[in-house]
Amino acid sequence: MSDYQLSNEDHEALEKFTKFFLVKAAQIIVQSRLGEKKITKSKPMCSGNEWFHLSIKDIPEVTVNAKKCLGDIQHLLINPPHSSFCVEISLRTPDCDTITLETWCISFDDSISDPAQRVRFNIYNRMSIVLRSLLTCTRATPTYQLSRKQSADKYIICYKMYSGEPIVSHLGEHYSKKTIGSILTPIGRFVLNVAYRTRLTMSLTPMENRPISNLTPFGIDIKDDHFSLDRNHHSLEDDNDAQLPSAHNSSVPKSSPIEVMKRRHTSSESVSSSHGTPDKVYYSKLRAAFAIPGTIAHTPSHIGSYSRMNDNDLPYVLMQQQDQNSKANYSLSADLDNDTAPDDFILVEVKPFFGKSDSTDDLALFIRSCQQPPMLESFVFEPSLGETINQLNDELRVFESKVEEFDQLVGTLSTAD
Amino acid sequence: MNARSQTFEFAIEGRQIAEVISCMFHTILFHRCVGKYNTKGSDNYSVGTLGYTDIDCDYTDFTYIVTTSQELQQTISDKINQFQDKLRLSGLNSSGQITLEFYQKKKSGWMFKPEEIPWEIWTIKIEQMQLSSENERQFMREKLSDVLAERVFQITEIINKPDYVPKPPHLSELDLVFDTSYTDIQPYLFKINFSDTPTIANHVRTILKEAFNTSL
Repeated sequence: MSDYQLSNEDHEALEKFTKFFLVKAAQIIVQSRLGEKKITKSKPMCSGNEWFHLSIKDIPEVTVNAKKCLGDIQHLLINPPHSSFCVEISLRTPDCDTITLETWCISFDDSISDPAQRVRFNIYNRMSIVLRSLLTCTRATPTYQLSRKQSADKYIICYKMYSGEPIVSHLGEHYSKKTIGSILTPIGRFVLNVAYRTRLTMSLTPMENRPISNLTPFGIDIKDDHFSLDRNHHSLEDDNDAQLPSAHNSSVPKSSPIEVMKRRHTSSESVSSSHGTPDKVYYSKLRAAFAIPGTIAHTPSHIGSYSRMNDNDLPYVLMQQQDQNSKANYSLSADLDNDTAPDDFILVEVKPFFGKSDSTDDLALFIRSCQQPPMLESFVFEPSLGETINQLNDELRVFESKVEEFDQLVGTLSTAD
Repeated sequence: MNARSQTFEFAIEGRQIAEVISCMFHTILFHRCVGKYNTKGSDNYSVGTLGYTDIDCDYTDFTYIVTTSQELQQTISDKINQFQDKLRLSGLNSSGQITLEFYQKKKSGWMFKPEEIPWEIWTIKIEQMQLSSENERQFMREKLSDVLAERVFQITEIINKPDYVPKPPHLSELDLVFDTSYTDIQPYLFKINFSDTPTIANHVRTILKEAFNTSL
C-alpha cells in the first residue's frame, strides 16, 4: 500500500477525474456495442463540457447506471476497499437464452504508485490516452462484429455494470485477456483489462420447466449463476436495473438491452407496451368488424379496411344486408340489447309472453329462432353473375315454352265468378 | 536519444494494402494527437476536443478508429495511395515498407534549419500476395481481421508504456513538437516515408540524405 498522501485538493481532483473516467469508460464500452458506426466531431474550440479532450456523447441511461453502480464516494476505486468497476457484455436470444461475451474491468492497485505524477496534468492526460485505447480496442474484440449484426429476431447485445471482482467464469474455458492500459498515480495504479470469450459455439443445455428451443447459430449454454444474488461482492444489480422501455421481459431483470434496441424495436413492440401484443391488436380489429351483422369478410385485410370505410364505400350487397338488419332490429323487442352477431357471447334473457322465463322452454326457443333466423340459402350459396344469367335464361325458355298454359290460366281467372 | 521503433509485417493481397496501413497508422495517430491549442495571450490557452470516426474495411471484417479530421485523413490517404500504387506497379509479388515517424524539431542556430530528431518510428512491411481461389481469399479475409485485432492491441500496449513523449513546450514553440497546420486537431509532428524495396543500400542512402539536408 502506498504511504504517499495526496493533498486534499489533489485528492478531490483525483476523485472527480476517476468518477468521470469510469463513466466515460462505461459510455465507450456500451456505445461500441450498439451495433452502429460512431462519428463525433473534432472541435477546435473547447466548450468546457467534454472531459479528457474527447468528443464522447453520453447516453443518459448509461450515465445513470454507472453512477448508481459507483454509488457514493465510498465505492470509488481510489478509496478502500478499491472495488473494481466492471461492465459485462452479453448476448440474448429471442428465447431469452443469454451468453456472456466480455467483461471489462477497471481496477485500482495501491501497491504500485509514482509520487511524481501530477494529478491535474499527467494523470488527466493519461486517462485521455487510456480512453482512446479503449475506443480502439472495443472495435478489436470479436464481440464488436457480433454487435454490428444484431437484430431483434436473431439476438441482442445487453450490458450490465457492477462493482467488485470481475466474473470471468462464464466466459468459457479459453477466454482471452488483454490489458488496455494503466495509469500511475501517487497513491496507486489504475488498470483497464478486458476478458472476452473466444469460443462462441456451445451445445444447448435444456433446463427444467423450460421448453427446449431449437439450436440457434450460437447454441446457447444456459447461464449458471449469472443472476444469482449469492455473490459476496458488492453488487448494485437491484438498483442498477435501468429498465429501458425495451426491457419489458421481467424474467431477465438484471441486464439492460443496449439503448439502440429502443429504436430498432418495430412498431409492434411499441404496440405491445401500450395495447398488448400485435396479435391482440389484430384481434380487436376483427372484433370490431364482427360488431355489424353480415359483414363477415373472407380475408383479414378486408376486415381491416372495412373498419375504416363509410357507408358510401360499402359494396351494394353489404349495404342491403345492413338495411335488412337495421329493419329487423327496429322490429325486435326492446328487451333485447343484442345488436351484435348471433354468435356473440352477450347473454340475453328472453322473456316470452305468457311463458316461462326459462330459456329451455319451447316457446322461448321458438321466439329465439324467430329473432335469429338462419341465413337464407341464397345469401350463403350466392351464385355468380354468369350462373344467375344462365338460370334466368333457362327460366325464360321454360316460360316461353308454356305461354299457352299461362294464357289459359289468366283466361280462367278473368272469367271467374 | 535513440528513437524507439516498432515493425509490423503483413503478407496480403494488393487490394488490402491501403486498408491495412490506414488501420495501423490511424490507430497510432489517434493516440498521437491532441486537441487544437487556442492561445489566449502569452500563457493562456485552451485545448479543443478530438472526435473519432468508425471506418469499416472493405476487404476484411474489421473496423478501426480514425481521428475525425478531413485534413489528416487526406494527408494519410494520399501517402498510402502513393505507396500502394508504387507497390502494385512493381510487380505481382513485390514487397515494400512504409514508415510513420514522429519527430521533434530542435533549433540549431539561426543559420541552420531546425534539426529533426525522431522519437518514435512505426514501420509496416508489406509483402504482396497473389491468391488463386475464392477459398483462399475468404480465408485471408478472416485471418487478416484476427491479425489486425492483434496488432491494435499491440499498438495500445506499446503506446501505454511509460516511454518518452515530448512534453508540451512553451506556447511560442508549439511547432517544434506539434504540427500546427491542421485547423481542427494538433498531431505530434510526423512524416511518412516509403520505399518499395527495403534494402540496406536504400536505408544508408536515406540516412545520408537526411543528414546532408539537416546540416544545411
